[in-house]
Amino acid sequence: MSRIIVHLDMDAYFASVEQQANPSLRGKPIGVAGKPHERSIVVAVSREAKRYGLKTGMPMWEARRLCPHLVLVPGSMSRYIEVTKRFLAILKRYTAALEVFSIDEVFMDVTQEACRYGGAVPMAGRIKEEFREDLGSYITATVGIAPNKTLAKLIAKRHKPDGIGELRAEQLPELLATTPVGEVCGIGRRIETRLARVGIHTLAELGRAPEDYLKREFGVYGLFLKEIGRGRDSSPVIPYTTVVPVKSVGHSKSLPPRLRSIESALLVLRGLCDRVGRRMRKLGVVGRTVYSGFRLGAREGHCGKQTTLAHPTDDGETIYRACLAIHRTMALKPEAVSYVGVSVRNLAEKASLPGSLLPEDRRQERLNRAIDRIRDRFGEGAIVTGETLLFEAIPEHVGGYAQGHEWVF
Amino acid sequence: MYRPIHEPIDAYVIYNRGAPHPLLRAFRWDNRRFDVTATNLVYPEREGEARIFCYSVSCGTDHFRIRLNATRCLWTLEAVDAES
Repeated sequence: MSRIIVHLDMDAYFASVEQQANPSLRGKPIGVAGKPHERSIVVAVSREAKRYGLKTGMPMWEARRLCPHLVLVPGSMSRYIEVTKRFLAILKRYTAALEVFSIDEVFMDVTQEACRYGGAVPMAGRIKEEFREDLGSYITATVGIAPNKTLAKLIAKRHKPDGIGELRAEQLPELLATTPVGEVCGIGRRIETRLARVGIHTLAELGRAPEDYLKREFGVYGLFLKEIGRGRDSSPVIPYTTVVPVKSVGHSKSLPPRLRSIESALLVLRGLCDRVGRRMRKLGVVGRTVYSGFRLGAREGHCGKQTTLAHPTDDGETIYRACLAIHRTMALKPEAVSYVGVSVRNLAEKASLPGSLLPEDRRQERLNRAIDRIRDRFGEGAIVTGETLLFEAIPEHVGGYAQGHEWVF
Repeated sequence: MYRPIHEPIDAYVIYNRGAPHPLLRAFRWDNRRFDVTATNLVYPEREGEARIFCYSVSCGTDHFRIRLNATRCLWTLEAVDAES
């Protein structure tokens, strides 16, 4: 029996939530950004702004050039997380086979449930109706229905915004023949270019390509590509109830031009290490491998290194010292660090390891526990390291993180 | 655009059984009563232990951002986007 997979994608999500929250923004081209005066990117654009050619991730200067009357609004992760929690609560009533793919995208396997609603399309219609009633009229979703996840996502993309699309079996050959390989999730620009070099442009051509060639060129991924080219994808919908173990804890930040010196970058890094340590203690994990990455200027590439500590840690100060050691080995140009990041890997549950016997380690643990209690009670900004006060507050950008929140839905 | 206010207000609310937050029906600010005609969005936030609810409401053509500190039962008008 063929599976019925639903891909539900919220339309212009962050921008729609802002328009729902503030009716005076409705009908206007808006862009969600960090601080409108900062030189950064637009993390989401409204459907009205898309008509001017604006895209997510576009630099702010380019967005303003394309649409001079663009309204820029600061984003709020707590708003988006709340709306996500609310639409997931609705979807959970339809099926337990619900995979949270991102903050605004889910997959559902409704093979068993669709018949109760007279099919997948009426079911999708009912879901959209519930969204309208509970979330508001401006927050809409597009639904793609197909026998697998890849095709469902592709169909949803073709029915945006606010649409419902279903792929029927007889439509598959035409879809494969007309879809460029780059349109499929999982085939990036590099793979697309490599395929184009040998004359593979559409999914159908990919499906006809010799398996040996794809395996030689792309390894195991070549077999996945071959299957995609034939309209097949056996990857299961991973239910939201599945507990995925945390593999790493990290934070990163793009720096505005006025903070692009090595001294400022290291101060930002100090704050990031503090947040990584705080999150690790909340999760009850310790880690041994510390990775720190930097980007120099806007055009140069990313560089990073890792180091392994003698003992696993969840202490921000220890993580920062490891980052400093990494930084000393990298010989960075000091004048233009545009991005800093840190992550801790090689994690283990803290409870499964013996505690340190050294008095200075135990003192640091007590100090961290006291700091955590203060932050739990009075908020994240209630107590900070003295170093972070040396610079004025770093602008809060929207993309990539939620202040102090774990994304648990 | 919203204009910041940050002033305490009196609120007229309904506590519905089972609802995650009270329903804001009207509020009094600057010696005027504003009747809420639409609740556009309500979302929770945390400030340490304090549980905050942020209301985005409309009163006719004017729009308001209101905060409820549920721990202290304190209502604050945060910002106004008013035509009048």
